[in-house]
Amino acid sequence: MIKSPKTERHWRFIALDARPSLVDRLGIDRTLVVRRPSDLGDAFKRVSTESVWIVPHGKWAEKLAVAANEHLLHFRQHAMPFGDLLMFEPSPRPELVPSLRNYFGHVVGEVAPLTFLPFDQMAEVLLSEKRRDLFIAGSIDIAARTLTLARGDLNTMTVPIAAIGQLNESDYKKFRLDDFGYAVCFGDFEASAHGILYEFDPDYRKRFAASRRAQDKGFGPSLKRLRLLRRLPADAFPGIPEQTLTKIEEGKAMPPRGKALQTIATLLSVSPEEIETF
Amino acid sequence: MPYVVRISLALRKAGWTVKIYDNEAREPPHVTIQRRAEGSWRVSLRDGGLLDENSKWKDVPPEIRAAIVAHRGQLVAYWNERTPTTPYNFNS
Repeated sequence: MIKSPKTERHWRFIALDARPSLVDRLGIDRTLVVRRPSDLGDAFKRVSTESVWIVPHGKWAEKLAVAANEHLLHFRQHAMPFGDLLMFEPSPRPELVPSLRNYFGHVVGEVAPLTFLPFDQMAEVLLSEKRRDLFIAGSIDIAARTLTLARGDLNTMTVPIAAIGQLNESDYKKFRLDDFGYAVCFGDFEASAHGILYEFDPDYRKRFAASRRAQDKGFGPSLKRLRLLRRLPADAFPGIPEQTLTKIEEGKAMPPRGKALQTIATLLSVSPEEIETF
Repeated sequence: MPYVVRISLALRKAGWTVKIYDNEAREPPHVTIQRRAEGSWRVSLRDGGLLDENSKWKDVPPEIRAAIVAHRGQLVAYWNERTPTTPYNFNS
């Protein structure tokens, strides 16, 4: 028997054996709680591609994959994926990962152990309209020096840690998330989600650029932000005097063309057309 | 380490934070107001205005705006120390 306060066709969240406190925060009117594996079959009938499955224990991953298999055998026309999957523990069997990735849209936590945003904050992020711009989990690969972050809409992104700040391996061990997914912390160092998304997500940058104040829009301010992002001084561009570059950045001189524009773009590691997207 | 503007316990309990984060050197000098997962507001240290056109002061408690004004000197000093590439007086 599925324990649920009410029935409806599609549930926003399906929580497998989750703590009551998490369910309360997500809202009992939008969360289907499944306590037993035998109830998973019914749960699959009540999800949409927008649903989020919450799996607190790795042992449930196997049961979930088996139930998805059986559901597909009986309902071969069911729209895929069955929603997104958020696992608080990795699957004990890596062989399960490919099927989970095929059955579910976005999958978070299926392999590497993650550091999660505190649960009370995470529930609010999952419900927030701004969830795609906030982080709910992350993992660090020390060997590759990368940080993989899961956003509140369960999309993931990987960024070089060196691009976030001057951090060392002892800082990596102090990684945590805070401020409702807005702060990415390494001990005392705190980076904002805005700073990370702005640099590594072109879609975020585009959305954000549209909301800038008039005086911060245009080629000049974009050039200045990108130059500062790359930590280049104003005199770093051969053939372009510092004073000229400053005037361009302030909008007091026309944007460069031709060879000068190409020189600037090359030193900034972007194409000429990309400059104005920053 | 971020600069955290002190605000009342009641506002902190309501989920408000006011900080200069450590990775925003490319932007004009600013401080970020955050409320839980609901939204953020970025305030220019140069003119006290909001950096984003979609942001409105009416959505922020007046006490927070007053705290930023009161801390402006410390915020500017901290910004200049942490982000020498975009100091407060640069381009202003």
